[in-house]
Amino acid sequence: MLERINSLETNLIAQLKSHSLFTQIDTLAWQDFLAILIQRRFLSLAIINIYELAIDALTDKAAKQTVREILHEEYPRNTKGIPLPSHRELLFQDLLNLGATPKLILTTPETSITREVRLQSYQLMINCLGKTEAQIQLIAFLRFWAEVLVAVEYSCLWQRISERLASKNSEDKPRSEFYYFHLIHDSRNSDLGQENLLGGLTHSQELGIHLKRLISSTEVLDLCITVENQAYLLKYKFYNQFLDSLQKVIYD
Amino acid sequence: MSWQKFLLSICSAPKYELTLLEKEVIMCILETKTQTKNDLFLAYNQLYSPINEEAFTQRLKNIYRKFKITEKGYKLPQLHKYLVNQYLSYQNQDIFFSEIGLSYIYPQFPRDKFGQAIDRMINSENQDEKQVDILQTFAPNLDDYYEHLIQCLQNQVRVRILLAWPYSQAAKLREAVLTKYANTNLKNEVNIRNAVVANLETLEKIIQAVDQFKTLEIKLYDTLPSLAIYRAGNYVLAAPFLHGSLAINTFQLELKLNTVNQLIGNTLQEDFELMWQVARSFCPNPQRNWRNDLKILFVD
Repeated sequence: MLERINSLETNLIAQLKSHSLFTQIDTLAWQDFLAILIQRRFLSLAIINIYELAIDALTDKAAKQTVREILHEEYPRNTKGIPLPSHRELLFQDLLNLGATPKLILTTPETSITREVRLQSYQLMINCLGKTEAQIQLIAFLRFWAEVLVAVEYSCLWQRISERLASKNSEDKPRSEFYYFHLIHDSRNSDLGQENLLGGLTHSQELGIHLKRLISSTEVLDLCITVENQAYLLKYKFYNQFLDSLQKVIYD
Repeated sequence: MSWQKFLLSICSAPKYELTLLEKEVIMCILETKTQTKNDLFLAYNQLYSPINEEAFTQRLKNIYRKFKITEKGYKLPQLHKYLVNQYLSYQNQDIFFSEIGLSYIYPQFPRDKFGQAIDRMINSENQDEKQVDILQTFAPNLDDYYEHLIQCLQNQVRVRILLAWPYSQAAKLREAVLTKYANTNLKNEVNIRNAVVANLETLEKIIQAVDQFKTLEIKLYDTLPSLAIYRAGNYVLAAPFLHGSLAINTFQLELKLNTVNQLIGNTLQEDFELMWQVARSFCPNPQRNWRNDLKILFVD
């Protein structure tokens, strides 16, 4: 039964990767590339609200616990309880290391499209509430929108990010503390139902285990497929807004 | 212990109450290796003192009674079999307690003993002994050896720490087993992720405290070992991972390595080395945001 959703996900990931912006990303001017990352940051900041909504709406205890743990990873502490830099801060630091100034990051307004994508993403979750299969739709959306596709986006953006940030310790470049780690630990890594006992589970896989457990019929599966398609379209819409930057390169 | 020494020993055992002449008969069995009463009678007359057959038969009967040889049929082969079985049993015990290197069993982790073993190892002249290995899911007692480990690094002792990767399925399973079957206050206190991170924070402090830490190696595994191992030179403490109980709170086998019989020592060392090979290196370097590295260590 999971073959259909696995196949869908593989296709959607391939389609997002083949978005013109990503296939021609190496042609972008650096400032235009930074502008994409700065807009993308608004979606990163919105993830907290998305996760908080899921926690409040989920009644499945095990799934709620997983979502809670993922959210708490955003705000790490040491074992003495002292707060360490949050993922928000690490994102800010990566942007600085990529050449953005604090002023640019903090004062660039959210574009109307970014705002639309952010609000429509939230609304998509709200629309699930009250329905019989709301639980599973929320998990399906959360997993695909906030983890699977995020890793795909960052892996595509990494082609340029890696020009100035390193994945490991390097003497030449500062290490990426946000993008690289998210592209690894959010990634899909395996088909649903194929999670390995050994090795680690990514966030996508942790949520995928709950998804597999809760997909009880082809009707439920269809709902998940619908939600994932919608999540994909929102991401696609977000990156479409930057196509003008490519045009600019062509005309220049 | 040789067969001869064993027979001398058993003949002197108070519980059998053998007389001097009866002991002579037993030793004659050893010397002649005979299984028939007639051959033994002839040999005894030649090798020991002359005795008539009736008196010899009576002496044998007394020996059978004292060794509780009561089954029907020829008694001499039965006596021989009894003595051989006693010898084998004794031999096995002998191997178990000395040759195999098991020197003591503690009811729980002997904190001071391990500290003393590290001190001895640091002061030892033998360079081959300069090694400390710890294999644990997480080491609740790692802080007890903070100073010892610093001394090890300052004295170029190789220190290998092997802990569970806290995000592994195996670590979650161990945590579930500990909490589900614990009959103590452990039930609500075990959080392997935090416990391993706490160990790594201790190791981070150790790294900060020394000038160089080249001899410190830390690895994390994503499997399920069956024993916790603490080694300082040739001194080893090993304890099983039982349901509902931390390894340090269960019985500890105190072992010496490099003994005549390497059955246990070799097996434990080979298992440690295998885990060491499949585990992945990790360094809680104070200069790095190592919690991010930790999260993705096994995510390929």
